[in-house]
Amino acid sequence: MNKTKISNHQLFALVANFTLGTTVISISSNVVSLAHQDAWISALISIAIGIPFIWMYYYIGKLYPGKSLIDILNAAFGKWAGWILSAIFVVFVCYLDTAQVIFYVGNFIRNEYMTETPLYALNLLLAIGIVIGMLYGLEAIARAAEGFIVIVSVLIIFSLLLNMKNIEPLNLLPIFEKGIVPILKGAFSLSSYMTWPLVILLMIVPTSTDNTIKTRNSLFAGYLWGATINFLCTIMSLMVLGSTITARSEYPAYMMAKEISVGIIDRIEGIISFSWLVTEFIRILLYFYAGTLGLAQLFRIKDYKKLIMPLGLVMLMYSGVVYPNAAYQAKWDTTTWVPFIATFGVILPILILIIKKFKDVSRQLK
Amino acid sequence: MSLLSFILASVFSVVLCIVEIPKMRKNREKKELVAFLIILFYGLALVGMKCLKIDIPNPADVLVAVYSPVVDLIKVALE
Repeated sequence: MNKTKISNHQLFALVANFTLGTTVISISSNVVSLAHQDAWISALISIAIGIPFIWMYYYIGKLYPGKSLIDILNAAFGKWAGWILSAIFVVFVCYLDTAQVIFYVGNFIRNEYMTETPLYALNLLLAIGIVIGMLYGLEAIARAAEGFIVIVSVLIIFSLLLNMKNIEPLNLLPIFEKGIVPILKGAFSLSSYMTWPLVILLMIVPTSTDNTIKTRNSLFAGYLWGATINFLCTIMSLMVLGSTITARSEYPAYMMAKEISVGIIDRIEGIISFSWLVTEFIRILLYFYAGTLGLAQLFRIKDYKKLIMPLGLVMLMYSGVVYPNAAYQAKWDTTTWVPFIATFGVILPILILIIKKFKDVSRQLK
Repeated sequence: MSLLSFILASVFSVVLCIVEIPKMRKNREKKELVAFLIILFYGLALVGMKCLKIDIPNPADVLVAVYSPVVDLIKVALE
């Protein structure tokens, strides 16, 4: 039913953008508040945590070629349980996240640039862009991601290089001050934004790519590229700002870019916010695409594009509701979200693999 | 202001219906039509609730309630 195809390099760009979105600017402060000056070790550990999961998502896609996550859940858990699990996945992973990330972007612009503008006005602009992107379809999104990842990488690395003058390596000391536990907490908190949401790629990878070794390599390359840039941003903001300021500021990478002052180059934090907006845009589009495709498959609707405009309106309205205040946001981001996405990103894929292996073995015995 | 935004949302919906519904009826896409109308009315209802300053229930609260035992368990385990 789904004829869209994306190339492996486009998949690399999508994964890298997805990994970079949210984590670089806002989640690193959560991680630093958990792990303090050792947050860069957390970032390294979470790269290592991610690799088996990426491999697992790829392997599930290979076991069920040409099937999306909805079909996989139906095949693994049966008709009713599969349908209910898919519905929970579509509503609470895809659509809730779409609304939340739209809120993130609007809130960032409201906090840093346009303090008097109502949130809905900013979200509306973003929602219009998302609806247009969705109407063009996955190929256009993937081609845009290919361009974006080059620009974003160059801009972020440029701003990191310009910050070399301000670094204070002593900010990283003492290493392992409170033992390994806070570092692991930080690593899992980071993984819950960087690695486990990649499970939504199961809506795209098995159906829209050719599912070869090259696909796996581009998944890994995209993940490692995004995670490495995230690691560089975390360690730089620790060295430039110190762990206390990084943990307290809402957008550490943005604050770090404000410190840049080399000759006539000054006040260039705009490039960081631009690159963040661009990666968040791709992240929202992937969530929204996976959700809309899932919704269409749940109700056996052939043409998902008809649903995009009304769904855009619903997402826009919910973007102002999902986070009523900053305290709720902090509580959600550091507590509820982690076990919730772990259910879908960790437990569910492992269950699918076990059930598939069990079925294969019992079929051989017959 | 809120009335204006509700009117704008209604105008958007009406224009969307005028453009999309004949296409769907021509292609005999009944399911699409039903889903389209349900989601559009849902969105309009949300706009209306927001304009009348009625609190829209937050879907995230469901997850907070469901996962609070798990969160407490993890907290106890880590301390």
